[in-house]
Amino acid sequence: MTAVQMIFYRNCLIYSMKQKFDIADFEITDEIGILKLNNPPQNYLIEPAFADLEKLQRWLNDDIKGLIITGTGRHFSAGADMSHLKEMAATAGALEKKMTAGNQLLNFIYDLDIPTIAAIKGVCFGGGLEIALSCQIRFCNSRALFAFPEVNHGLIPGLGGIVRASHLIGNAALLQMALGGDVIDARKAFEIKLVDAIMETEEVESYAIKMMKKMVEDRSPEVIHAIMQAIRNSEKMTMEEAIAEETKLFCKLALSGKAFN
Amino acid sequence: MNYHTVRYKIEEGVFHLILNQPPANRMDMIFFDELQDIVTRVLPFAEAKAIVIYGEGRHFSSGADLPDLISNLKRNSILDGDNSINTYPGFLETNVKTFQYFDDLKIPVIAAIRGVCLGSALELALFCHIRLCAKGAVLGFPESTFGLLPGCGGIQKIIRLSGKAKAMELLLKGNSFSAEEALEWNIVDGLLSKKNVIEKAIAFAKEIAPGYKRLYAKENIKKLLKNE
Repeated sequence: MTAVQMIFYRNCLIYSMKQKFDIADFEITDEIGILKLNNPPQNYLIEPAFADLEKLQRWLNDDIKGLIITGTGRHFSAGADMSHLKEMAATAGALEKKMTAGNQLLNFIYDLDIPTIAAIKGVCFGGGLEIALSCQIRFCNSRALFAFPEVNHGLIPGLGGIVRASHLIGNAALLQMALGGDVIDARKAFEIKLVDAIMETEEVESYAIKMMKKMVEDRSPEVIHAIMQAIRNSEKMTMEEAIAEETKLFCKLALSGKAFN
Repeated sequence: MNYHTVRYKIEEGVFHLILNQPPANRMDMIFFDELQDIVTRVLPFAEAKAIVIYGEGRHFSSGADLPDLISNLKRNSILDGDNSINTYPGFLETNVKTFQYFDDLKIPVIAAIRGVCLGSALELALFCHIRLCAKGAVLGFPESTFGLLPGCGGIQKIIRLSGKAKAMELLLKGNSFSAEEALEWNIVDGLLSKKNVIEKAIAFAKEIAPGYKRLYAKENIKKLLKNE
């Protein structure tokens, strides 16, 4: 083997070597990206950031029109591995750095200009629930369970879980979960709007793919981005400003030449 | 005042605003002009105690005349050298102001929906205070199927009524949905029969007009629907 070949193969190895904390596997189906949390059986998060942000950004190139996040096996994710958490907390700066990385990752997912769906089976606790909350839409199966168990360890959800949940569920439910540590089932989760649909019989992941296809299949990236932006504006701006932006987005699309002719 | 695309009448203090280009009651550029005229030169002086909006004939409205609207936009927009928009004409913003006028009124504004209510028509209905809908009605935001999106505030309104996830689904899919689904997703406030939705809307308007408080407007709908 020549020196060049050796360097080439070494770089391939480094490039493909997964970081220890990275439990995300990617696959693509018909322009839809599927991210699987892969640390079965419970898909514990080894660190707050469950994927390499740069790798995720590269993978989500312009061709991908929707993202589905799901868990390998029978569960979505039971959240943080408490023993790892203790290790990280031992060094003062280390925990904060890792939590920041976790936030960056979840913020990135939350701010994506494509629809995101969390397809949830089984257990969805703590950091796992925070991953689900970073998606715009949540579907679950009838056996799914949701909780913020952090309080049982004298902690709180630290990756935006409280903020994002508070936009969906009322304060009563939020306090029951985050303060009381209550575990809620799929029915209750649907009732309080923590999830948007329950699959009684159909597989959650295949339903998510079906729904995603109906949403993005015949839509150009421009239309998808514009609609997602308009929706995001409802959180970032006053209604008046958001409506003005909506009009601008309409005009951009109308004048792009690709719209109704 | 005589208009081509709408007509109105005032009966017992209730202002009837009727989209009048049956059967589709299409909302073309003239319609938006005339609607703006009504909210600036007629309604403020009408001393109405409530407004009910509905369509002439079997439908509410099939929505905007998109080719008309887009060609108007193309003609009147100023583009920069690189084809990016420098200024676009203000008529869409005027539309928003017209819709917002109904939203901001201190008297009840009730949409009585029958048949088809799509796109801009649904936007108009969403700016009303209350939406009463006939069974068998068909509603939707089909704009994405044309490579567009609702541009006059419909997105913001539907998010506030049905939540982000449902809004995302309906806007991207562009599918039409039934009156029952609209009720389930809080897009309309009550279901009535085709035959009497308008008549009931008018009666309801008269009932809630005295001492009308927007916040409590929807509380009496159950009573209204009791005999349906």
